[in-house]
Formats: sequence, structure tokens, C-alpha cells
Amino acid sequence: MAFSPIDGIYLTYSTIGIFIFSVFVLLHLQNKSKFYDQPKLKYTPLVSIIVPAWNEENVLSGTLDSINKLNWPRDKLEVIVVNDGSTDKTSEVAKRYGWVKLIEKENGGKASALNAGIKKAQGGFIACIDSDSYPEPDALKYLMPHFEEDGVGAVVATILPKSPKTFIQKLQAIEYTVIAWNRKLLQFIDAIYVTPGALAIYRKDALEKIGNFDEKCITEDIEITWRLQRARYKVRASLNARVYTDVPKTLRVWWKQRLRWHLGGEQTILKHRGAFFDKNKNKVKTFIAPYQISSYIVSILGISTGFYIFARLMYRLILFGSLASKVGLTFKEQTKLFAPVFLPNIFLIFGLLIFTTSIIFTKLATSSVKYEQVSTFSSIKYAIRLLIYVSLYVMIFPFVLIHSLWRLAIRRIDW
Amino acid sequence: MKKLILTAATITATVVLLGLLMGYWMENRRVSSISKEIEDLSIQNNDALLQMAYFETFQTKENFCESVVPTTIDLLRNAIDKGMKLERYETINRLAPGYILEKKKYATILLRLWFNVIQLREICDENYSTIIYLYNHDPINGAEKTRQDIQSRALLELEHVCGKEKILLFALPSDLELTTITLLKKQYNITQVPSIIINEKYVFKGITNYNEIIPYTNCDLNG
Repeated sequence: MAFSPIDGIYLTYSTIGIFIFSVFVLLHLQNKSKFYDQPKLKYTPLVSIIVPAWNEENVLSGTLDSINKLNWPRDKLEVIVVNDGSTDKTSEVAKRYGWVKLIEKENGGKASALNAGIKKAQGGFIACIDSDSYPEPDALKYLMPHFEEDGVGAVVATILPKSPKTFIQKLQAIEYTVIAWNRKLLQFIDAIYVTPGALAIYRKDALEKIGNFDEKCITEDIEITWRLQRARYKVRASLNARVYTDVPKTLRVWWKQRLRWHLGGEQTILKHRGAFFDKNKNKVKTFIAPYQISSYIVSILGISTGFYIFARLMYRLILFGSLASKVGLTFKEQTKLFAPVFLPNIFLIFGLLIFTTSIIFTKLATSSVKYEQVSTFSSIKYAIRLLIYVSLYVMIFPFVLIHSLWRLAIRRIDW
Repeated sequence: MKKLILTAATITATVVLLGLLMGYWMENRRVSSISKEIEDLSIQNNDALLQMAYFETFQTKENFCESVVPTTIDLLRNAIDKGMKLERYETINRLAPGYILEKKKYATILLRLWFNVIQLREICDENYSTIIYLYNHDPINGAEKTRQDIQSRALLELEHVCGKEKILLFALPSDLELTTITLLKKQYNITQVPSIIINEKYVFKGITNYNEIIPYTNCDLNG
């Protein structure tokens, strides 16, 4: 069989995969000694923590308990819970904590809740914490010194799943570790493109300068990072500062969450399409937008090719079925036709290469982030999870992307 | 940043190039190995032909059939194995120049073996059946390939049901511009693939049920 266009697509994919792997491994090798570097804090500023909450009666107390344990002077900490029109007992839970300032408002979405909190905040630094996230006691101590560096607009913590129990949560534990490592590496080229809501701290004057959170965007944390980057603020990530968050327990909830992330990402790209024409040289223009758009194109092309191969196989199977009885073959005899040929060729070489690089990529991440829930997995169990993660889990994302693009096309952009 | 991208691009180019070279080397090695095996087969075939010529020249029939028939049948089995190997190699080949030459050489060996077994069936009163299966080396589309695949599977099943000593299969590519195959197609008025010629007498054009073929062969399902 000669070299076909499908073979060409496969090789292009492999090349892109190897290129991305090379970029991240080079970044890792150049910077691994700096992963846990911790700047010194020269003074202790007032930090305003904002917890947006909508029907969070079951989880809010856990978040407030964690905030209460933060190693940060009480007089330098302001905690604001914004009840975004909850219909449950969120307010009552918040009121149990005397040191919490409660803001009540009509439901307007997470971004509007954050903006309401920012307006009332007195601190020069705004720490946004999701109401289902639990920072470690030293999180602020590790995050705040990064603002000593000139031009830093935001600092983000390492977000990890809280006590992963179900299989999908354990896969997310690997994924979050990879994301944290990735974000740290992107810091070294000033290209962090999201400051997740689980725990990110912003310089208040930077937020005010760029106009606070966009209330129309469903992933305000991605969108605000793009605006910070376009305004040439630096974004930093700390591997020392950790925050644990509740992650979806089932595939259905997981899908819904990822759909929102993708939709928000697409909304952000559309909103910032003008970044390509920015007069100032910023990372959205030179790296983030091209990287995001090309990753979407690669995913769509990949899934289209996959569908084409699948459709071709189905057509062949149907044809086989209809012809097999014509030539007198039984089902068992037909199956012999599909015996795979196990001989090494260019496909196998590149397939193995991509598989190996994916394993190395994930292993580098898990060994760099040192998340106990991942590193304490017994070796066989961990190996199985790792295999499933690199071969199946990451394959679901293009399908989520297609779903999100469909939702974007029909303008169903909601939570 | 520029330096990072350039270094990554250089690493990528090197790895991809090495991968391509390795793939090319592996596939070329397979072409060479099958080419050598077909060359060996050709020598064995010539040897079998010489064996027949020997008996003809010295006008002796003593031990002729006992000697020549098993040699020729073994040779045919060996050739079929090589043909399947060639098929497998071709399926996964992506970079090597291709197997057309090997396929042509292989087809000519099969054709010579076909003539041999026809002759031997007459001389030695053998009761095997010959089945010529004509297919396209380059099917025009996926549907044609599927039809060919399924027909060849059905013929292998026929061989399995009747026994390898009763059915001698000759799978020949009809589109490789080999004169003998062109003559064969003309003689039997074959204009489509897959087509089947049984014992040089019966022709089946298009997809054929192997149970329909059985009565035209020497296959005895009860025996």
C-alpha cells in the first residue's frame, strides 16, 4: 500500500506531538532547578479573599475552615463571601463565621459575584477562591511574595483534586498534576493563559485597570488572564502553594465541566481575536492565541480523520457482512479476514514514539509536582491508570471540543 | 523564546527524520528479503522444470510421478506461503518503492507452476483441481478491494474444506501487464475481477459462493 493522505495526516500529527513534547521537555530541563524557588516577602499587605457562592451550603464551610487556617496575619486578611442569589442556606453558613463579610446579591453569575466582592474589598490584593476549594495553610505565604517582582498582575496556586476516590477522579489527579507542571513551565516563557478560580491572587490595581472580570464570559478566569497578558502584566504560578478542589465524581459531571471550560475558551478566543493586531508585543498575540487556535485546528482535523477512518471501516464491515453470505462464509470465517498484521512499519515506529513521549511527559509532571495522591499509587495500579490516561482519557477531549463548538454555533453558552 | 522554538524544531526534525529513515530501512530490508526468497523460489521452479525435462529427454517414466508430483506440489505450497508473505508486506508498506517487480516475478513463477501441474495431472493421472483466481493488484476502490478480500477468503475456505491435496490455488494479479495473464483473460473472456477459472474449463465471473464451485472440482466432501 502506498503512502496515503491519511498517512500524511498521521505523520503530521506525530511531528506536532514530538514538537510540543520537545518544547516542554526543554523548558523542564532548563528550569527544573527553579520550580520551587520562593521569593522573599518584604512586607505583609492586606489581602482580600473573595469567595463567590451560589447554592454552596454543603461545601462552603469546608472552604471557610481552610481559609481560617491560613498562615497570614488576621489583621491583614479580609474575607468576603458573595452570596450570588443562592436558594439554599449558603448565607446562614457564611454568617456562622463572624470574621466573614457577607455580600448578598441577585444571581448574576460567578464573574458578577467576584466583581461585587472586588468593589467592597479594601486590600490591594484580591485572592479569589472557589467555594469548593480548600487552600493549604501556607498557600498565601507562598503566593504573595511573587508580587515582589515588577509587573506581576496575578499569581496562581497549584490546584489538585481533593481526596480523589472514584476512577475518574484518580485520572483527574494525574491530569491536574500535568496541568500544574505545564503552567509552571509556561511561566518561564510568560505564557500562562489561565488563572483558575480555585485560588488565584490578583493585584487589585491591575484588575481595576483592565476592568475587572467579564460578566459575559463563562470562564472568567481564562478571559481575565488573556486581558492581563494583553496589558503586559506578568502571571506567575507557584508549585509550593497548593489548593485542593472538589473534582467531578462521574463522567457526566466531568463532561459538563469540560464543556464549560471549552466553551469559555472559545468565547475568549472570539473576544480576543483582535489580539493579532495589537500594536504592543504581548504573549496573547505571539503565543497564547496562536497556540490555542492551532490546538483546536489540530483536534478538529484529528477527530475528522478519525471519523473518516471509522466510517470507512464501518462501510467495509457492512459490505463484508452483505457479501460474506454470498460467498458462503460463516461469521467465524469472516473474522479471519480481520486478523491484524503485526509487522513493524513507520506507523508503529511513530506510534511507539508518541506513546513513549506521552508517558515520559506525564511522568515528568508527576515527579515534578509530587502530589501524594498520585505518587503513592502502588506501581501496578499507577501504571494502569497512567496507560488509561495517555491512551483513552486524553482522547475524550476532541469530542468535548466538537460538542462545545456545536453549542457555540447554536449560541447555547451557559453553565 | 526563539531559541527554544528553534531547538525544539531541530530536535523534532531529527527525531522525525530518524523515524522515517528507520521505517524506510525496515521496509527496504523486507523488500530485499522477499526478493531473495522469490529468487530462491524461481531457482527451485527452474529445478523442477529441469527435472521434468530430464525425464522427457531420457524417455524414462520410472519413478517420474513419485518424484516430480510431490516436488511440484511442495513448491506450489512454498510459493503460496511466499505470496501471502508478500501480501502482508505490501499491506504495511508505506515508504519502500513497492513490490511490483516482486509481484510480477511471483506471478510468473505461479504461472509456470500452473502449467506444470496441468501437465502432471495428465501424465500422472492426478485428481487435484486447479483454481485460477484473478484479482487486481491495485483495486480501483475500497469496495473492489473488499470484494477481492472476501472472495480470496472464500477460496481459502474451499481449500480448507476440500483439502490442500485436492485444490491447487493460483492467485494471479490481472493488472500487472503480464502477457500470459492477458492471454488467459482473452481466452476465457474475462473482463472483470474477481474471476475464477476451474480446471481450465469453468469460468466464474464476479463474487462466487464457494459451495457453487465445489461440484466443478474434484473435491469429494464425503470421501
